[in-house]
Amino acid sequence: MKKIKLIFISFSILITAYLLFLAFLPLKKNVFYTNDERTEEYVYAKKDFPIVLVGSSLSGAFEGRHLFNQPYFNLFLPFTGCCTGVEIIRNAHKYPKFLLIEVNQFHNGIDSSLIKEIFDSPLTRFKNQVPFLQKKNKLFPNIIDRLKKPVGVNTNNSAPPAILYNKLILSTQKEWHIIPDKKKMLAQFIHLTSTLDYLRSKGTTILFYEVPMDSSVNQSTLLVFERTLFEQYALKKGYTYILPDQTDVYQTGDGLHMLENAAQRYFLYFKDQINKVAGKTHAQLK
Amino acid sequence: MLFNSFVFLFFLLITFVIYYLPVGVVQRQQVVILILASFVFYAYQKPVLLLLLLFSILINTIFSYSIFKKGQLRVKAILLLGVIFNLLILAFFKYGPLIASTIGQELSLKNGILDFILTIPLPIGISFYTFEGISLLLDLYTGKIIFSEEKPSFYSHLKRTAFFISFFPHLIAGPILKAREFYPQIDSKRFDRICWVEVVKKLVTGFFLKMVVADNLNTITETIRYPYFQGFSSLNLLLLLFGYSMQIFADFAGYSLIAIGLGLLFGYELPKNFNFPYIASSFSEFWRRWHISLSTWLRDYLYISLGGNRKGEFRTYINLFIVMLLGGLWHGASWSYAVWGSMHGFFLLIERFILKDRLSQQKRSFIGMIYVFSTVSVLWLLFKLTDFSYFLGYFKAIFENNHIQVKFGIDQVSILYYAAPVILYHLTYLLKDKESFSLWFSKVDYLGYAMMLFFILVDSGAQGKFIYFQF
Repeated sequence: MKKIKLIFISFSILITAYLLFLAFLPLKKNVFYTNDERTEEYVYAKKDFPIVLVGSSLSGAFEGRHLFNQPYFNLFLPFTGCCTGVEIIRNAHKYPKFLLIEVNQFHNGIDSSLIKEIFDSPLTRFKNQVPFLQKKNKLFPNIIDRLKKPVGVNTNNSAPPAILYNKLILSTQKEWHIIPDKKKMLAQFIHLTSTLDYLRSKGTTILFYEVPMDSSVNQSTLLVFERTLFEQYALKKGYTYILPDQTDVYQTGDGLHMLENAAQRYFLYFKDQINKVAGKTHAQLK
Repeated sequence: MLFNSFVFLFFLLITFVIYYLPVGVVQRQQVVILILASFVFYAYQKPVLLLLLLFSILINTIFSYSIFKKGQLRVKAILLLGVIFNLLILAFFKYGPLIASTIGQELSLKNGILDFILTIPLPIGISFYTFEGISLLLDLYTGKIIFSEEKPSFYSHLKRTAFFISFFPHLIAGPILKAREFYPQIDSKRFDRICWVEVVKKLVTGFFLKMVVADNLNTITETIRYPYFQGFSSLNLLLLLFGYSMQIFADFAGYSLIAIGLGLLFGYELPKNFNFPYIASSFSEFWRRWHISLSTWLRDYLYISLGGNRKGEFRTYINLFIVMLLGGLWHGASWSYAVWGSMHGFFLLIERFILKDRLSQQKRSFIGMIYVFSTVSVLWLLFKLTDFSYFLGYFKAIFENNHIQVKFGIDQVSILYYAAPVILYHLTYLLKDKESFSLWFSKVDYLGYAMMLFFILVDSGAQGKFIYFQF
């Protein structure tokens, strides 16, 4: 039993030291490695974000870029999409003044395991008081983030080797030319719009946008279906829908994600569109 | 139910408290309490699968009780029937889809039947508990099980069998128990007999290996996916392979240690499953150190039954190969597992052919360790890329992608960082023969356990399933 006591005493010393370290030297992060880390940053941030972007990994192209003149949070969540982001905002009770919703990967639906992990875990209620329970304070990445300058940009400079690129493009085209489950998507859309109605009642202004993908996918069955759904809804409710740029071709690395050069160009277009919208109706957005 | 979940923690706490309640009735029914708890544990995810477990328990009880009761003449037939029954259950649920997809068309199966077979869910832990059922029948047949009473009733035998097969720490992913080792342990247990130091050491190490090492490596090795790996440089591919090798050890050894620790918590000693396998300098040594409960099961019940090494050199080679091929198929219903087992069998044969009698006297060599570790690691890839063409594609990429720029970011550093504990763990074995090290280590080992506990709390990865669950 003496050994067990020694184990627990040493453990207590270590954990106290780490808690003190986090308390006196909290980590200010602007690069997140995982979806739960990014979500926790939004949920547990001590400040409010007047502008929030929700979307999939496609919106990762905006990461680290100066889109607005006021604090904004890019809640892009790879492998899922806007539905999860909207659900997080609702569950966190942190309602932004402006919510920009990426339409592209709406079909991915809600990542319920992420929602469960963030809001229904037995540890949820302690995460504010016990900072090491938050993912950003996980020991190894925390130390790495302090030692190295984070890379702010989330895009690749060049496409992968041809053997991989061709396969990825083909699989993207195949995936986007069918509607996976129309019934399920429509049910998901009804759920999303009811949440948006709720957010509107809390004073949030809603805008939709698209991120350009490979030119062979931009008019694909799935994207056109989603675009129509959201455009009609935006029209009906009087929300803004930022149309994709038709005048330029944006190169991607896999048919979906823009390369850095294309992302820079699209960023300028998107910023310009935001300015136009702000100029017309939402001065605060600028 | 996952060992690394809050539900399990809650379940364990309740079971533990009830099990050791100082009340006469409870103390007399400790085995029943554990059986019921094990059923809850098993049924938690998919309750319907409990029916199959119950069926397996009942069948094995009936056959084993018949072996126990009948005279010498009919015993062999009963044993044979019992073993065939167990294998049929395994074959139907585990290999049905594989067989149907491979030769379904040739068998002219109607589409409806084919679809039905192809969608049969794989009952979790089936490979483990059917092997345990066979162990019970064979141990009873060979008279290796000693009962506490001279003529146990059917009910008491049913209770023991249900407990042996379903005891939750080993139920889903082993260690595979042998009836002759477990039955003599079935008795009432006392709280003050718990060896807490061993329990804490096993649980802390097990959870550390699983939650910190395996789960963190898992988020990185997930990129070993077709066609994505084709975009990685040769060095990055090798590093990923190394990471997966470390992960698979940490995942399975971690699970086994947790199972052993939980067994001790309830007063039962489960067999050791790993003994520093990556220090092995020959394949035969590797199989004495990796998944020991499976390799000894295969040795005791299959290899020896086939004649072992008693029927000449050629038959020994054949027996070895058959055992490894079936051992491979035991892991999963996919031809890649058969290839994996065959390759291990092939390396064992080569080793035996070259070294012959010198095999048992072989000294540990660094080159041997590197050879075994790298070959074993390469073969693990068949667990990750179960399509053989993808497996070959990965190799092709290792040789062809040397022109792609090596990436050395957080993922690559993470592989080295999270693999370090596994390397250190194996190093302690190599150093343990040095008296000064052993003495020093025994004095400060508590610091190691405290650190592991600390890491479990502050550096765990995303909760992942245990790799061996699929087997």
